[in-house]
Amino acid sequence: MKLDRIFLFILACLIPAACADLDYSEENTRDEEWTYEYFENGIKNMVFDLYAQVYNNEFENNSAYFLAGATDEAMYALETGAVNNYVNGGWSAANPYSRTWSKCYTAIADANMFLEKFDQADITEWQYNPDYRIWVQQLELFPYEARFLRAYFYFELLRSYGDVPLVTTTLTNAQANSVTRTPADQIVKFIVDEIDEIASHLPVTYQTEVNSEIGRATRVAAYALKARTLLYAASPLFNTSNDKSKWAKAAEACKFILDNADAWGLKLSNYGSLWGHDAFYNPELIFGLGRGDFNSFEMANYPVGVENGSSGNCPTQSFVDQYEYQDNGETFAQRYPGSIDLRTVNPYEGLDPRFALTVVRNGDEWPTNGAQKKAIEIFRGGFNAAPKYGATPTGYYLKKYVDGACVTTADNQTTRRHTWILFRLGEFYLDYAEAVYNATGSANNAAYGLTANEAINVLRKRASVNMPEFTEDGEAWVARYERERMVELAFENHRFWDVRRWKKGPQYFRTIQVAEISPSLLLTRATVNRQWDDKYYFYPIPMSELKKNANLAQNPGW
Amino acid sequence: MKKIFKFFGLILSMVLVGALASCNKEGGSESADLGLHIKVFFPTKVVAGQPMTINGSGFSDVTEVVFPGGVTVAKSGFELVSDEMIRVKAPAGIAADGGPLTVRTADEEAASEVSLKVGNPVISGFSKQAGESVEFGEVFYIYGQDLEFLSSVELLDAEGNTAVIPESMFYRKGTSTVGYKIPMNTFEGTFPGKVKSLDGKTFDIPELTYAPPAGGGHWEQKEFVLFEGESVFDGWSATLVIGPAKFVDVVEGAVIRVYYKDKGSDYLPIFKHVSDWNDWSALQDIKKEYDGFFETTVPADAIDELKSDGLRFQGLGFTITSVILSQNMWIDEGGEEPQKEETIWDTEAVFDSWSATIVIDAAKFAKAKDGNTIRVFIKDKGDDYNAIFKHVGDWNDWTEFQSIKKDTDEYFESTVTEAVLEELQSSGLRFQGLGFTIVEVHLIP
Repeated sequence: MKLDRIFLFILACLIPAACADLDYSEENTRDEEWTYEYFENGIKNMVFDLYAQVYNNEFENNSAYFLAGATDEAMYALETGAVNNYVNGGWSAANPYSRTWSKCYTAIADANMFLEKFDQADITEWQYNPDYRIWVQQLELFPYEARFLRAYFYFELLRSYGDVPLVTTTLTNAQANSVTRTPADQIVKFIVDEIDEIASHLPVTYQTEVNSEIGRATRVAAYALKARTLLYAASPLFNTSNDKSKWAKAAEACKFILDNADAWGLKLSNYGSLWGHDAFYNPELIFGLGRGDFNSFEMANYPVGVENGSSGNCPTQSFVDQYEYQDNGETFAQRYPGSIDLRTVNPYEGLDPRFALTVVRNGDEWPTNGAQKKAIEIFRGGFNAAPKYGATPTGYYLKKYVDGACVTTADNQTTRRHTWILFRLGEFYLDYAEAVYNATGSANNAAYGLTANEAINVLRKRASVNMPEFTEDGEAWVARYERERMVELAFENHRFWDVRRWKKGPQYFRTIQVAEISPSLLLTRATVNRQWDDKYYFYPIPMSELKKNANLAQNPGW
Repeated sequence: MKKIFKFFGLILSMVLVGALASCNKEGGSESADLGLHIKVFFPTKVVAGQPMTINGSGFSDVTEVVFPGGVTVAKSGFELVSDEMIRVKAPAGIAADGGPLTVRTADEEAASEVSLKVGNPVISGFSKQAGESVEFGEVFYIYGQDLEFLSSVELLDAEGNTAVIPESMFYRKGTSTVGYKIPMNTFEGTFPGKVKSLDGKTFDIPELTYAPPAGGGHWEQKEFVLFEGESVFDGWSATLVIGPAKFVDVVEGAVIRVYYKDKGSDYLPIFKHVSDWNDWSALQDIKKEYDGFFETTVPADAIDELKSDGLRFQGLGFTITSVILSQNMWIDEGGEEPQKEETIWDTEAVFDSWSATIVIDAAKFAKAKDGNTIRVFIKDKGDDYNAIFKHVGDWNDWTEFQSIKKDTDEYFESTVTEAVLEELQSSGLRFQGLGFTIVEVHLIP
């Protein structure tokens, strides 16, 4: 009798546990009625949850925010950094960096559910609330914002995995575990069609909207997503037959942004203003992630030797080599291909002004705050150099995005706002140039109203840059364009994807050069070999997903 | 009794085990095939021509989408995006009172739970009434209902031809408000406009007078030839002087560009003062070399000398063929020149104690406007940094400025509002604080 009761009791306890799906859920945990009848903490929070997924904090804790360490832009100083797995063979289907997959599909599931239930949204009970009118106007935009964000997440999936399941509705677990991969071309078409349907419903800016909530999806961000998606679709990784019409579509989409930038209030800004405390208000920014005051990014990237600095992403010599001199356009690598005696020569003098804004070199005063400012010593035995543990392995430290005003001393720390750029106007001059060059076969063809060279020269003739103009064509143009793109968009998480879509992994990522500076200030070059395999062009589908769904095929080579 | 209880317990156990099994999603009892079903469609209010998406399941075999009123779109008229999504344009003739949407395959059909509504764009007003003026660049608003279905506006361009403003250029498409910017190349004069909706309706925009902004004029990059000919620099006695008359309108930031030929191996061009033949280092230090020309940018402190003395060139190994002055100029078209950034304080002032202060005279704010920024460039920022905007008369904190003050390493700034303008223009502005040195103060439009 006693055993019977115990058995029943155990069974009763097991039921709720068995019914709770702890592994995966297509459903959001909010109470439905509550969510759709309360604006501020219900419906609005649901949309904000989608925005929250845009920020990819995959490397936040141990790789200092960037994918740069997995490219020829940088080496991550600490060997324990997770980003190093991309280049040391530690990347596998079992260790797949699956956050992109999981965060995107979580966000897409949330967006699908939001759109399916949005018709239930009823806030009329709040009509006497003083903010009711504002809420109604914001509510009008939410479905379009959700669709923009869903399209954005599909872009992230596309560039990471290629073909991915196209899910546009909420699914049961059984459905979710039987989806198949949709060809990349159809994902591209989905993104473009969505943008075409929603863009005109999104405001050009939120500054003229009630509450002026900046940082939300604008029409310009939507067109930017379309243009970048079409550029990727036209690139060799996705456009294996080099279909020129794909390049033409990308060129047209980019040109649309350039043509209307002025009317939309966009302006190219000083290069150094693209990041820092007030960058969120920069008129060049199309869509960015504004983050509150903090200094963990500075702690992660200040040089070792600066209190609480961990070196983080250290620019490589390969990266520095791309910068041109202002006088004749010669590159650093062309002028100084070998060792450099820094006591007699200053090879950094006369370089593209973007160099000094991006890279900290030996002797620079850094960081800029008065409490920590000092001349950085990157020669062996110097205060910020080997043999100190965690010192730069490349001979340089990072300045771009790092706010030198942040004090990271043990006491009296200061924090600053940070803005991560997702889309900015400058990118689209480059995207346009690449697309129009490939569409027309020439950097001087004006069939689209602006030649590739003219577009690049707009960027290079900015007052804060003012570099010699592009005049090349053909292969020479391609090489110089790839350098210019690397320099202009440095550390904005483009390089990782650009080299992949160009299918130039072996050329750029197999070996990199770093600088070593001796105590007598002789800069020598060393070559670092890295792991590269063509399967790296796409991420592996996480093994955990493949186990759940037999219909999901793995990417080649993984 | 005991047996009955045991029997009841056994039945209960079986029921519970059954319940457990039914919860097991991995057991395969739940099918991935949910059959034909519409979950949602978007938007839920449409007019003819409106692009729609329908989401659900089992769409692969759909042959028809049926709209309220029995209006049918065949397979050739819609796009099957996936088994879960169809894109279709709403057809004409949907029943005015709406109803469910239906999808059909060869042998089944599914209707939506939500009803499709039919939109009816109605314009109730405009931000300007007939006979009023509207300026190029101004945002013009249309008010009404179901305005999300507006698709374009037609005005006249500068030549009097029809100019279409597509919906992609609307400032914002809301259900009750649509705004668009009047293009700068609009026809100057009085004429009516038209608004079109997706379903082909046309609405009239009242007759308005379209005109350039009151402050008529624009900025334009202008080039002036300062010298044309051939001036050979083959020895240190060779020189070329460009007189001050050529620099009457020179402004800070102007570019002096020198085109040359016959570049020799001893090529060395130098900007010099006219009076003493010394290097003009302010111009020489920022000289940039290009293929076929070199140039320099005119700094503020060179302007007076250029206007009074002009400019000399000296050097070796080149022949100057022309010298160009390129600068951004305001082209007056009968209006007021827009406000420009002004330096309203340019003397270093150290704030190392609470008795340190500077006052910027009210006259410096004569042109100040609501929305202007007062940016204070600083250096030597200390740990005790504390910069304060103050009233001139009573040394109290000027909270309207102080509460919105932004700080950076290089400057702090605040915004001029309507509330402070009068005092600013009658009394001026005081700064007090600790731990910084003011270098310059700018008034920025």
